[in-house]
Amino acid sequence: MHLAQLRLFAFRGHQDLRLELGPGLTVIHGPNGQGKTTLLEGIAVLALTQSPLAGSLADCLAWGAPAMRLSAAVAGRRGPVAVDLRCDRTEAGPVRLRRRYRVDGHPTAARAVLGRLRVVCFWPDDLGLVKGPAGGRRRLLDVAISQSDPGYAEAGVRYRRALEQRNAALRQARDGGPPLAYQAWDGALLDSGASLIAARADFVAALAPLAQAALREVGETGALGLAYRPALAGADARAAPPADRAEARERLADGLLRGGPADRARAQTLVGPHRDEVEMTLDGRPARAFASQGQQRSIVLAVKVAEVRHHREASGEEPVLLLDDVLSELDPERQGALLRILAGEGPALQTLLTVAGEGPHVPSGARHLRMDGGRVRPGTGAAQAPP
Amino acid sequence: MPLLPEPLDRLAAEFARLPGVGPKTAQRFALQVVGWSVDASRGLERALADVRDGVGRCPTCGFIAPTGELCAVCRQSGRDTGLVCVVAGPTDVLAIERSGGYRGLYHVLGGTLSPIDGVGPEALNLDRLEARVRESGVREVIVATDADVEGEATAAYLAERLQPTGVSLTRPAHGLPVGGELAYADERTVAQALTGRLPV
Repeated sequence: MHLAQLRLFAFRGHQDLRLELGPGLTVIHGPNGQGKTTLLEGIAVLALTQSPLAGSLADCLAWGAPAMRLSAAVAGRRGPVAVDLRCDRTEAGPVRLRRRYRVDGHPTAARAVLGRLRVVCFWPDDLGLVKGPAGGRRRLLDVAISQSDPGYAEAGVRYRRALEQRNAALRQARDGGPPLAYQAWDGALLDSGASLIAARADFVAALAPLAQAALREVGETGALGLAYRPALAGADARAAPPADRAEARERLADGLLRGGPADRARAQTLVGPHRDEVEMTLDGRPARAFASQGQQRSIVLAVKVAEVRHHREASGEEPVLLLDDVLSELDPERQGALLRILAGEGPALQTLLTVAGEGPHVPSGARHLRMDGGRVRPGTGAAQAPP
Repeated sequence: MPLLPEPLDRLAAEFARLPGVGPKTAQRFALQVVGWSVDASRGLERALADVRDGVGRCPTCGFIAPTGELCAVCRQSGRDTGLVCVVAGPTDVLAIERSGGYRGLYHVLGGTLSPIDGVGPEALNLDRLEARVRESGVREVIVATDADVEGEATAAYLAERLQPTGVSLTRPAHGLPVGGELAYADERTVAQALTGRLPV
């Protein structure tokens, strides 16, 4: 699939941005602060129903605006689809939004929007994926799986809700409330948690060989290992992934039961998918400690390329690849490797790449847009002299 | 200088206490009252006072009842007193009664567990339920709280609490809407419906 048209209205700095796009590589040039990243963020919001860069969608509403609107026309295998999100600011007070999604003009729930536009995002912060906190690696799984498994996002919402309630009950028990009332939340936690764990196990198992192959294409010789390590048993975060949902549920139930005393002592749930880890190894050794800075970046590139290929394998359609100012963070060899791999993915893969300033060398055949003062026009802008 | 006279703002603030009424709607309501006849405003005053003085909770089940009296359901003869359906609020009783398919009694909890909002077991009408089950020959308790996270947790807690009494505990089936099309149901509904299938 690819994005054919995009409109961002009152979305951060964009008052009313309209854009026509095609498959293949599009390079978006322009100085900092012109809304290049925001453009990619808007696309990601339509695909993921939340912003990967902001804590709340309310942060994306243009200052003082009463409403914002994001619309896209997606060209896919099953014909064109129009995805539309309108957020109205609710009455006075802090900014809160009422969201309304439409697919082909029909009002729909957020969960029915997921999967209509599939994206793989690569933000500069992702380069810390190997070394950074586990939350970043869990987010990688959540973003990828929620776009291909409609039940996953819903299970995630239920899980977070049950977890919040259980932790609140644990805090109340510590402060003299009913001692065992927190266990009432275990059922909801188990049902949703088991779905998350099973889906994550399947996803990592499918992604691992793709990432391993992609790492070689990036030019590294080491063997990359990706392993899902569900937090199923208290402090033992190195558990092996379960074979299926039933086993996940059983082991999570066991972990919650055994973890009871520790949970009560810390007034916090210590077992479950919110503490999962994705272990990354290079030649069998933990990549976070043993891989060099450059090797870690290669691993991130390989994982992102694998994500693209996984979407293709799972759905038979190309995802849209959003690369935000990533090339400038890479050395010339890795820049070259990434562009070579992208070219090899074929002309159907739509890639939107933002570049600040002069930018690196981009292969011919790419389309160039320049963003300046919130406006978009063709060209790199590099060769144009000021009037 | 405020644009509107002070009594109007005060009335709007009162309306804004109602669920689903924001500041703008409350103001619209208040403006609507301007120019009402004495009869119309007296009618509203009297209705409010009558509800305040004459309507309360049923001492047995917690449903809405005339002050100090049993509710209409508890008073009705021919009800199956061995069957109690536990619900979160009075509107749930109304929904089940509208269905016309239930002949047992009710027990209204007055909410669902929600530690985030500070609602623990002690805030719900649970002691009375336990006493009812122990003392008045209840053989089955149907736990009809919502299927959301809070409703499920409340049901789980209730089951734990009532288990020692030996009463039979059930939960309404979740499944496909009557007359609905399978293709339009969401995944969880379809999964639940298949788990809870019945012989043809």
